[in-house]
Amino acid sequence: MITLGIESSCDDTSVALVEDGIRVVSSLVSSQVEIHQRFGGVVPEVASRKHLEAMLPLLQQAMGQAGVGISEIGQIAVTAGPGLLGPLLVGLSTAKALAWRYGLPLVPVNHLEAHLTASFLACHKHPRFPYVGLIVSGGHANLVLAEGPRRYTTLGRTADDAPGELYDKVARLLNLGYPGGPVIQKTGLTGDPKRYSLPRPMAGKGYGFSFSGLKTAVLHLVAQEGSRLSVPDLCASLQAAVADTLVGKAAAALKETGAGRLVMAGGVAANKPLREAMAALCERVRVEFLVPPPALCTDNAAMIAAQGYFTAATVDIDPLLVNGRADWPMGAPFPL
Amino acid sequence: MNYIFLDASSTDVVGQVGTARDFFPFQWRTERDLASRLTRLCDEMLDRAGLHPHDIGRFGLGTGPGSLTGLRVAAAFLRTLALTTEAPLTPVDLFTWSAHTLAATGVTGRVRLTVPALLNQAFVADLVLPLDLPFGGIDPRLDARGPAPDGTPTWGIRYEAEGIQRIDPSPTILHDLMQTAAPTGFQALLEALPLYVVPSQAEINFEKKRSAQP
Repeated sequence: MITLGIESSCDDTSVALVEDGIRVVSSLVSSQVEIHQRFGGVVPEVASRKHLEAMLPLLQQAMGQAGVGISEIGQIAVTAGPGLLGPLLVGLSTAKALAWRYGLPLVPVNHLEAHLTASFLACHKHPRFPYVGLIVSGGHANLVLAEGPRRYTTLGRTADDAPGELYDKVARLLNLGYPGGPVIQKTGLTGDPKRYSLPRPMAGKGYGFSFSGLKTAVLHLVAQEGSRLSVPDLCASLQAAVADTLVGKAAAALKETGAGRLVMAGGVAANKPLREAMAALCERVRVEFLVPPPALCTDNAAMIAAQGYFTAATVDIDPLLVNGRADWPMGAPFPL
Repeated sequence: MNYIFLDASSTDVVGQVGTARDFFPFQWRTERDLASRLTRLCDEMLDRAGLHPHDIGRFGLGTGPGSLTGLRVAAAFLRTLALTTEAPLTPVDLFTWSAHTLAATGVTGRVRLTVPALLNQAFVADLVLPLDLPFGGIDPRLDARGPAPDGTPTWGIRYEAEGIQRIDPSPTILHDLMQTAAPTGFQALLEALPLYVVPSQAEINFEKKRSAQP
């Protein structure tokens, strides 16, 4: 069965066709990064406009590339949240038009749940439960125990900034550009991760995260060091602090839950030092480590289609009545 | 040709379905739930006209100006339908629709049409009636609310105030507009967008907030 996936929760418009939840037939992403660069962050109104402009060409191109007509699509999966409401509604209304007109099943998908499924999609496998899931992105830092399709227990989440947001803010402070994650990684390549001693926020204090203190620590460090500051060393040290923090929480979750695998996803999961640190942890404690390739870490509709395929049976409402929800917790009822 | 039209420029969403013989206007109050009710509203319209989604050969999109979220929900929905069914999509902005409505009542010459916007502002278009063309050429701007300072007769679209007369765009005029040939093809579809006034309030606010930060 071919699932058409539609994603528009933030600043990437994406349309994909995925067969049986594990094989990507076509996947296109239209990024707005260049548009939002001048603002140093995503402006929801601007993002909404660009989603509307990009959606139809992507839809046409994705289906054209795959040689798939509407009649060959078995169902539609669309991000209903969490995310920016204006952008979400563009994708949702597009999906509803198709479902309504052609009588196709519609599966509202939780964006965060889909990020985790991307790890399984990347290796063409059905999701296997239970696992500890870590989603790290520009808007999220969530640690969960996944026990089945749409069955999640949230172990911890960020109380303030998400790691991607931290990277964006630090990159802006250091005039490195936007988005912060990739430029901080690139700048930190030649840096010494032990040069600056940055805090490991909330280490050993449960599963919650807090990254705003780390941002403040960087601010103070920059002011204190002045012209002596080594930007590459700072970038490397910052990434090490984030990785240590996340690895510590993941290790504790694996130990407590006894889960045999760790799945890491989200835009920040593309960060190389973090991937290496998490892989080392999993090797040490002998659990399976799944992380998508960088292209599937960022927002994409292929993961939405895959998640829609594996969760279609859980849809217990009329999906045409679903609304977008900016804050839709993982595993929570479908938003009406 | 059977058509379906949606104007979601305010919380009072206006819809209309038409056939070769008749048309049926609708209005619903929505409260941030247009996206969830959208297909139900369309079903209600089609039921009234005895039509099925497959019977629709033309779509009409109210392009505002007005509530950007509402406009985009309707636009995303109708543009997708037009694309996949290869049916024409007619963009109808409130100024054009209201200008034709006024002209039909015998108003001629210079007029100002306004739609309330945020922060005591209004979307404004200065026009000469009757319009030369059924569509196009409207270039609204943001201005202070109120009547035209030079005494040009000022009309408020779906509202009235001191010195501003009310004009409600007519379903009959809309039905006529929906029979008028509109641009077709993929490019025309891509250009059928909400009537934006740039920069948006969101952009202005964002820049203000950013420049105020240390």
